[in-house]
Formats: sequence, structure tokens, C-alpha cells
Amino acid sequence: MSAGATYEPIAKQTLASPSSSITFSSITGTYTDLVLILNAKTAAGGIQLLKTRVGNGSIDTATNYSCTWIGGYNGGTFSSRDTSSNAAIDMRISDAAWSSMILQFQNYSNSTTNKTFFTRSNNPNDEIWQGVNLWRSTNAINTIQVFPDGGQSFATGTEASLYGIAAA
Amino acid sequence: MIGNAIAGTLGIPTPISLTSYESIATTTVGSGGSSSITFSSISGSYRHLQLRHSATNSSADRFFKIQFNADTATNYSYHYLQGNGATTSASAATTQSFGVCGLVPNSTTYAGIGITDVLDYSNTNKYKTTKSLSGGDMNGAGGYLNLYSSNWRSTSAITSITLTPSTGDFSEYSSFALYGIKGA
Repeated sequence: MSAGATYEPIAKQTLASPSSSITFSSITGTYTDLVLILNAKTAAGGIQLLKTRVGNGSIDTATNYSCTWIGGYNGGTFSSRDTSSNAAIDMRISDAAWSSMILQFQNYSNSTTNKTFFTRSNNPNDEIWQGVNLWRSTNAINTIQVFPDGGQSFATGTEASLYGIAAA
Repeated sequence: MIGNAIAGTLGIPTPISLTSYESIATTTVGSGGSSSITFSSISGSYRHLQLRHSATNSSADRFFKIQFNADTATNYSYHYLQGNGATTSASAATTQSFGVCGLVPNSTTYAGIGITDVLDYSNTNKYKTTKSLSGGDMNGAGGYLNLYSSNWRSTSAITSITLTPSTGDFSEYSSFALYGIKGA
């Protein structure tokens, strides 16, 4: 068995003013998986969906996304789906509290399979969501964008950190 | 490789110890598929293990089993929470010959992915517990999201892990990567 340094920071963004989106581009394909960690809230607008798009060279805005998620709230659990959408829609964000999100892009740089990734959002004032997403493309992912729905912006102080995980 | 700053400060995350999370081994299934995947001779020098997979199945949508140290006796139990896009459900099973850590879809183009953690895997005073997140989405053909927990009733340190689809084979291009996480 081989072993070596594996979990590496790639880039971090901390917003000094509100922004409608956060994008990581020109992501190297040398890792096996990517992990994107957010500590975020919106500047206004109450509870919104937090959407994800990916791409190769440019962000894909076509209807190439679908997702399945489960969630929990003070009242029970639920599961839902969205198909043939122009973004993955299975995270939530609000302006009332900081939410933590973790996105896991596994096997992101292969050119054989369509891309599947996890999303998880935790908002103390809202619901907890765990989702799995599909981007119907065999292209390697080298750009990732997250953005609040409803025309809202990320609040000042929102942080996003991108890590790469290498395999043996 | 550096991210694009839309409105903010670009920087590098606080460096972490580059040797605290180590790749142990990776297996990618070749043409013809594979009936099982085994990681053997796992060092006891880590504190925890993490298994990450991206896989498809040659038969039908199937869960896959996890067994430790070639133990096929009824020393396992598991339970899970699942969502299929319409409803949530939960179930459990005791006195099983395997734990469960993932679902793989019957598709060669839409992979099921998962992350399985085995905490304190080399401790000889505890039974071993795994926690898994697994899921897949196939657009119009459905989707699923599963959270599993399994228990292996043995105080032996884990030195091997075997993964087996409940039926069929892991298809070509399925990949499984094992990582070790060091303690302080």
C-alpha cells in the first residue's frame, strides 16, 4: 500500500462586500475529488435556494442538472427531486443565520462518466438538506459556481474554501 | 488553479498538515467488471479510515456489502435512512453476515457515489461502527440518497475491507479509494 499527502487546499474566497455568486475556475484536474466548504448567508431576502453550477472552461447554464435530496425540519422529514434543470437546487441559505455547506465532487476530472456530487446545507434557522446531484456531461469539471436564488447576494464575510483530495 | 474572486479577498486556506489525511490505496475496475473489491494489509498507524467511491453495477440498482477481515459470519448489523425523491423511509437489520455502505445504480453512465467513515478502526477495545453517505441521480430515471450505519461486532483491529455488490458486479470505471486519517 502507498501513502502520501492528500487533502490539499486549493483556494479560498472571503467576501469583502455582497456578491451575487462565488466562482472557482481553472481548477486543476490533478486531484480525484474536490471538497467545497461554505460558511455563508445572504445579505437579504429571507430563505432562498442556494444553487450550484459547474462546467468545463465555462459554467454550464443549460438544463443538464438533476438532483435528489432528503431533508429534515421541526415537523418531519421529506425527500424531493428536480430534473432537467439549469442548476442543482438542493441547498438552502438565509439572511438570518450563517449556514454551513459542504459540496463533494467525486471523480470530478474523469472524462468517462457523467458527474455526480453531494451537497449538504445546515441552517440553524431552517431545514437541514442532504442532496446528490448529477451534471450530465462527461467533461472534467474545472469550474464551480454557487449562487443564491431570487436575485439575492451572498453577504459580506461569506467564506468559500476549495480543497483537492488525491488518490494513490 | 486559483479561484476567481468576484468581489472579495483571494487567499489560500489555512494550511493543514499535509500528512494527516493520507491516501492508502485506490482501485479502479477494468473491463469485464469485478465481483468484489478488497483492501488488505491495512496499516494500524492511522486513527480513522475513509472510503470514497464512485461506482455502477452491472445488474440492477443494488446496495453493496462491507465486510471486515474476511469475516462472513453473522457479526454485523445495520440501519439506514433513505430518500427517493418522493418519500423517506428507514429500516434496520440485525445478525447479518455483512454491513451496508452504499447503493450503486444499474447504469454505466450515471455513477453512484459515497463516503464511508470507519472511526477508531484499529482499537482493540471496541466494536467497529461505520457511517456512510451514498447516493445517485439519474435524471428522468430516478434518484436516491441513503445514510447508512453498520456495526461489526468484533474488537479486532480492521486490517482488510471487502466490498461486494448484493448481486452482479461492479462495472468498469468504478473506483474505490481508501484514506487514512491520523490522530493528534
